[in-house]
Amino acid sequence: MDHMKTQTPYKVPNWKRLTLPESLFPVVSASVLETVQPKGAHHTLMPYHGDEVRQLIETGFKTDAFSKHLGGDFLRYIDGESKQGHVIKTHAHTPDVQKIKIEYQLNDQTPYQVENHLIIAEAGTKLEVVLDYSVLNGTEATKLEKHHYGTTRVIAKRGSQVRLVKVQRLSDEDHYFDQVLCQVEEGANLELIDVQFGSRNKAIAYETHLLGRHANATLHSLYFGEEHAQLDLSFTMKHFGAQSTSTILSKGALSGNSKKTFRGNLIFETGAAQSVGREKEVVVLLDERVKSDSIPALLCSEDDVIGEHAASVGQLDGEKVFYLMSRGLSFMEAKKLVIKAAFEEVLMTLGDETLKASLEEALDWRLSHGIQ
Amino acid sequence: MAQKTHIEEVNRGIYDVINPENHRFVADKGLTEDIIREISREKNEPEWMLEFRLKSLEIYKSKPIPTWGADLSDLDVENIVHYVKPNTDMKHSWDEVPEEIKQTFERLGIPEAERKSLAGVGAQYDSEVVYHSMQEDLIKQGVIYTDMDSAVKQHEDIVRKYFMTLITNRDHKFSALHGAVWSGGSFVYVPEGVQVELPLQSYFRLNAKGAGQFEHTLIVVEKGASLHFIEGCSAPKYSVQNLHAGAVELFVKEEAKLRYSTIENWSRNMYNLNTKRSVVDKNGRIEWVSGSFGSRVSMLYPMSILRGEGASSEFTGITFAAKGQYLDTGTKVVHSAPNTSSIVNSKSISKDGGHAFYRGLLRVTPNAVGVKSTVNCESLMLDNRSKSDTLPIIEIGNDQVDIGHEAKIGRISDETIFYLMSRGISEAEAKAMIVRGFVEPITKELPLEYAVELNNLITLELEGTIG
Repeated sequence: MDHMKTQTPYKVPNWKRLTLPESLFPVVSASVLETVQPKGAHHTLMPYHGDEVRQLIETGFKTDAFSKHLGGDFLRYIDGESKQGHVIKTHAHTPDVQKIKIEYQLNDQTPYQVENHLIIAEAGTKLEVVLDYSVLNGTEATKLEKHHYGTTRVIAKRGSQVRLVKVQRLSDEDHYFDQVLCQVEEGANLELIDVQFGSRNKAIAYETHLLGRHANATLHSLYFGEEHAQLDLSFTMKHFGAQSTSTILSKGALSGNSKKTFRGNLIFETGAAQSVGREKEVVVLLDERVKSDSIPALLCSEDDVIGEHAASVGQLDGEKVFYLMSRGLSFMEAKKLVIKAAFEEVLMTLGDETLKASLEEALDWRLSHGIQ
Repeated sequence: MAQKTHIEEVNRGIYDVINPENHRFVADKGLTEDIIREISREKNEPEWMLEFRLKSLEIYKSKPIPTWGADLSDLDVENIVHYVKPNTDMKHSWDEVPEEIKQTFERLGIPEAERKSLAGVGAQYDSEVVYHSMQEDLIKQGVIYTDMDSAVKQHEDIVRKYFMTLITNRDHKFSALHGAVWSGGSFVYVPEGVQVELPLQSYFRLNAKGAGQFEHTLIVVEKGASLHFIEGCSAPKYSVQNLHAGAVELFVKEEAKLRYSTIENWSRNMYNLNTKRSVVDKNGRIEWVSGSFGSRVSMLYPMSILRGEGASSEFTGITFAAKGQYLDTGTKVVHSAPNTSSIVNSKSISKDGGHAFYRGLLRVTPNAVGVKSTVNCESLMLDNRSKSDTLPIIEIGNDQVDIGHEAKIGRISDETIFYLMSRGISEAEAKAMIVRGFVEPITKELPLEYAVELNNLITLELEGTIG
């Protein structure tokens, strides 16, 4: 088979908190099956390649200002081997919400995906993008390990409203490495939702620069770690503009032998006066073998700000579980319900009923298989 | 009118007094095997200690300077004289201590403090303990409180059992350096069941130009015993950079309790790279109270290893970073036994371009079930030229834990100041009140004379900003 794992010249780095397999950085032969569902007529959707895209990035995006969360090897690989992706751009002065949903299905014919996206919301426009990664159902689907590597760049111009939803539910032996870099201009509002349900090895990094006054960004992260899964979740909010606000809320459950590292970075640069940043991490541990690391950083060079971080790591809320059991639920049912309720808070904000229903179904499946 | 003073103009008074150098023996600059042998010979040490020093020197030379925290590129370790022996022998009566040294201590208030309530004083002048006394009844109870150099000879069995087993010479470059050139420090041994009611206190001072200080503190609190030990530091101001790389090893046995309080107030040219560690057995308890002021660079993370079931630790710390200072402080807690608990309360203040960095680690090993821990970090920034960072790392290795963490960064809110001003308090006083309130959880943990010193320090520091 022509897509057999042939290694590219990129070197697999050594990470401290996540053991990377040697099989990373395969040669990509073809694009992954994609289904694009655009709603609204006031946007441009074009393939991510060519001089025009390069120019858009060079003039509108400060790539160098962002940290290299995944490291140089991943970034060189993504830039060098990218075979897929889109530029999604709203037309100026469009009042309607533009919605674009792209579903990617990896299968044994196209098990590897390396992609780049550029999402631009022109001043005052509204844009919703859903990127959904899954494995094609079928008998052959789980034969080969699937890989995803990607970079998504977002530019939310003055007063625009952008929502980006990324959903990952690959199979349990797959690999998912993804970074999302965002620029939020004056008065713009960015909403990020990240759902991680599958994959054995996954590292995701979101970095948002709040560049203008009153720029606002929120990030909701949901994850479920099972069996031998290793998760490295990194969320950064960097405040440059005055009176900018940001929120990071991460909720997850770990079972089996899974290992998670949460990195939450709230950074206030000088000049980001009267900005407010908050991050919160809640993780429920369901097995004695799990490993949960948290590295929340608050880095502050401006005094007139409010920066807060809170984390709670522990078992399920005993009182809630006890109450539910006193109403006739089994211990198992009660535990599931408590976790489900925690996730529901984020799923409710999705705004896409079909996606919400299918994620709830996936969550139910995870809960019934993940908790013994 | 409010008083306006710029902090760099403030005379640090007694803290900056420099005495003429008058030393019996000064080691050559730079670090060679010959110097180590000379130090050991001067101290008349047993052979195993000399071997340990030489081994440490070898490790020291093989390890790189750490690059993950403070910028240490200006630190020229080779040019620091590692050992300076003051021109006086051990004295047991205050009257016999040379007048010049006595004056300095008197300015620092040590005899006063002793007269009032302290059980004993072991004051370190440069690298050698010159004055040391202890209440009779403690000696009767079998409590040993002496300087480390004497302990190596007089209590060799105990020292050999514990010395640098908790902080080994392989841990990092500066622990290796410490192992090679350590000198002076305190040794305390509290036998089983003995409750030392009054706090023991030791005051360190650095005096010679370019002299590093590598004091070693070793405390063993046996089963069911308790102790409060206070370590205070202050150093005169010099233009030559200074290095402090001490080590503190604390062994808290079953059901024992130890409180270790420190205020480090080094001069603004000091590199304070100190290592402190404690290991706590079943149902034992360690309490750290730690104030970091002064110094140019500090890297200090007192560590508690809770290895016995039911052991507990509490860390209360304050860091005040002003102009030109980078203070990288925090604490490490390792829960390696079931049902252990810990509390961390850290506060930091940064002003005038100072950089306060809280770096912490909370680790729960896979077998340590039933662990409870809370970590609280609060940072106060007094202007936007300063920096304040918080990096608490939490590593959990099982599911039977209850961990809570909170961190906050911010400044004094205008509303609070406005409210206080509406009650007739001036703006300056309102700000000072709020800062004092902010550090109050720390001051209330300190003995009176230290609390007074801390309050004075804060008032002195604030005069530069507020007015």
